[in-house]
Amino acid sequence: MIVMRDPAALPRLTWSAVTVVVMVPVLSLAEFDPLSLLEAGNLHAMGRFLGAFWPIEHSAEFLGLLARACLETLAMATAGVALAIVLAVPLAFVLSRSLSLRAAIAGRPAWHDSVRRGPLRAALLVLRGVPELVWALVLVRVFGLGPAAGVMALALTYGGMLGKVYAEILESTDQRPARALLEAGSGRVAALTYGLLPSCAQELVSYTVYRWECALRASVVMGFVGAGGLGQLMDQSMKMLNGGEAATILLVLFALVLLADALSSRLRALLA
Amino acid sequence: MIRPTIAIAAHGVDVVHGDGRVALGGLNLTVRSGERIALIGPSGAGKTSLLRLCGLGIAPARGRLTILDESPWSVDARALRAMRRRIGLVHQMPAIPPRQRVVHAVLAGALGRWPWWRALSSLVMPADCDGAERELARLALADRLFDRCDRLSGGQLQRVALARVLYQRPDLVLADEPVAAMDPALADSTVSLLVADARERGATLVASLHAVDLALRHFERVIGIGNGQIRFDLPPQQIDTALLDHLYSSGGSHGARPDPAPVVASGLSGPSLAPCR
Amino acid sequence: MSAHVRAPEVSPAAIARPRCLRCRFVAGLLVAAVAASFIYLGMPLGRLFEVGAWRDMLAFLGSFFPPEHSPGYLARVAVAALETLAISLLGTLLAALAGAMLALPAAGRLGAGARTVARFMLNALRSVPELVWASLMVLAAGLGPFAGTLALALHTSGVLGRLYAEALENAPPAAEASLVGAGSGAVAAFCYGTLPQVSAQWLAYALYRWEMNIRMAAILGFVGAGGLGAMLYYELSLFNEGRASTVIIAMLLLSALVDGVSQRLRADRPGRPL
Repeated sequence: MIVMRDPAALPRLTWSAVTVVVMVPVLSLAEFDPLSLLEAGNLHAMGRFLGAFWPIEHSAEFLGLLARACLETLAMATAGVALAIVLAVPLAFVLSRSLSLRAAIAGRPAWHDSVRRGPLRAALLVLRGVPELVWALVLVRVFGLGPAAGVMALALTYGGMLGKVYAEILESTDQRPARALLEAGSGRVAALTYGLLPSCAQELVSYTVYRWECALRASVVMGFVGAGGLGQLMDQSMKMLNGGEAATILLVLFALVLLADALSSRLRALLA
Repeated sequence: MIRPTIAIAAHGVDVVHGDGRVALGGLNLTVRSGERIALIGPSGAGKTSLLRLCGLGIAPARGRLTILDESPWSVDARALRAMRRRIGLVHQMPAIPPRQRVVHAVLAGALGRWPWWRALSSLVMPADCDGAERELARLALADRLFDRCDRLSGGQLQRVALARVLYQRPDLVLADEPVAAMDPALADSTVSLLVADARERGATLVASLHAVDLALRHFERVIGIGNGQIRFDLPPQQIDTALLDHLYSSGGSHGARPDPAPVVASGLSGPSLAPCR
Repeated sequence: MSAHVRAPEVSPAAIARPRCLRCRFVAGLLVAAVAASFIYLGMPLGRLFEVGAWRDMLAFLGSFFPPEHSPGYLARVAVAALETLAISLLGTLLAALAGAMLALPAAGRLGAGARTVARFMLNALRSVPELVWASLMVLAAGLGPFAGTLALALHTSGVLGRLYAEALENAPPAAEASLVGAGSGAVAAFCYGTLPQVSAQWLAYALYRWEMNIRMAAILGFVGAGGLGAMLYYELSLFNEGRASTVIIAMLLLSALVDGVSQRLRADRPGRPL
């Protein structure tokens, strides 16, 4: 048989068959229907909305609202990351094996240390496993509509992420100075500040700045679940089908993302 | 297809590199259809430039050039592509994607004559495994048909590139150091295969070779190139050690590098030719 | 280091002093920015120290337990999870196709004009977040998972297109050039000469983005674009915290599954940048 001469033919045939079998339910589950884009109702709604993009909304009142929303977004990201650091530092301090003399000597932590760290690790997993937007959606019910829920959502998710990464960074830097200090009888905090931080501070700060950039992107959309900032404005404009406002917001969003890119890379360049 | 009468005709052709260096100056050369020619000369003398000129890879800065009875640089794009289809150039370092399988690398020789849909479908299901295997078998490489190219040695990769040109069946075969990465025995049989293939098909073959003995043994016409000029253009019987000594001491272009001793396929060469310096 | 040799008693902090004026200035700015943020937002930080607030908080969290686990509801959550997977898979697939189409002009293969236009399009697609695309697509395609698929596809095609174009620009051109030199057509020469050099990297990028898109697809439903997110939004708006927590657990499991699979894949093929 000619086809079977190629040893890759059978695997390829098999994979093609598998792809077809998988794609059928995928297409139906995702309700894949490109023609729906051309339905009269949808086409009309989208057409009117896009048609209203020009002229973009530029009344002084709206621009003032927009400026406040921008500041709110920036503040949300900054405050969220600040709280996340407050949450992450003690978590990393407890979780990191670097500051356990027993682990350093025996090669692995004592069993009761592991038991103590287990639930903490699980808590961190839940904190960062749940997307920030889900936290925001839940927390809006506690803090009410507004940026407070967004800040707390960022603090929880990013606290979990930072805690994990901080601990990993501490464990991957040169352990000898901290170990020497611990063996000489110094406390854990002293061992951290004099033994570990000097060699990994730069990496810690750099990662935090990178996370701030991510937080800014996240806080842009927080408003869609009612947690303030640009997203809230966008959500309102979309619900009222106000194309001009949406266009202005999209432009600002574009600029804000570029600004965050630039600011974050400048800050990290300053550290390097 | 009407067999061309003139394969290559150059009158006062200059080839100039992008940085202004002259690669070939005042080249006059006529190659009749069906001739088999070896180019020899020191590194940097202009052998590769001559082959790229004939392969329509570079345009002449000055002079008149005819390839396969046509003036390549005055025809439209469609006709130029039709000309390229009839020319096969084997590069010194075969440019084949590392992850490509040998069968596709060989069948790529037919891309000029295949319609695009056939080319694409062949990537999914090789269109002519037998044809590719036949050409590889002539180069003793049939067992690697379905291997990936990055699993091959340098010499094997050169043979894959040659199999591609054999599969292309061009009227004008140009080969730039096609056996440089092969051991002497293999190099000898490979060159003799190239010559035999050209003779059978009535195709024209121009090959540059580092190993002078291969050039003298297999080709009917040997052209010595030094410093971007043709130094001699003779049948192999009329080439002696003094002539070769003079060619290889003339240096590469502008003496940019000290010319290395030509790689002589030792053990196969006649004793009089072994010490070329 | 030389300072250390001359005066061994100098502490590391002192060695770093020459840089510190600037560092301190930046650090001061950062602290001021953080303070300003809290003040601007009027965060009720004081409430964090009130016993009553914590009691309310715990009561609220308690309402999420126990998670709803009736078989019928679990089946519905499972279907929504599958829907989320389908959205992410199809969205990434469409994005890979569109990204490849845009990467060709963006890598400068169709002239300088096409390159500028393609780059601008890629940047625009990429800088609008998925959720904003989703809210736009709900208008264009109606409520449901198809809007989410389109939203993911739009954002991801911007990201993938840029990465694909970079890979194309870094691929050695000799192989394709030699095919064109032998009279091959442009499409065939690309597919035989350049595509094999970038395909593995393109695939790795697509898989990496798929991993991110699975998580993203789970929350696109907040604006009506299907999947687990739509379910969570619905249950929370009806104050069904028990049911909502089942959905959140499903999200966690999905995310853990993706983590595990991608770690396995990466361990299996250490040479590949997955």
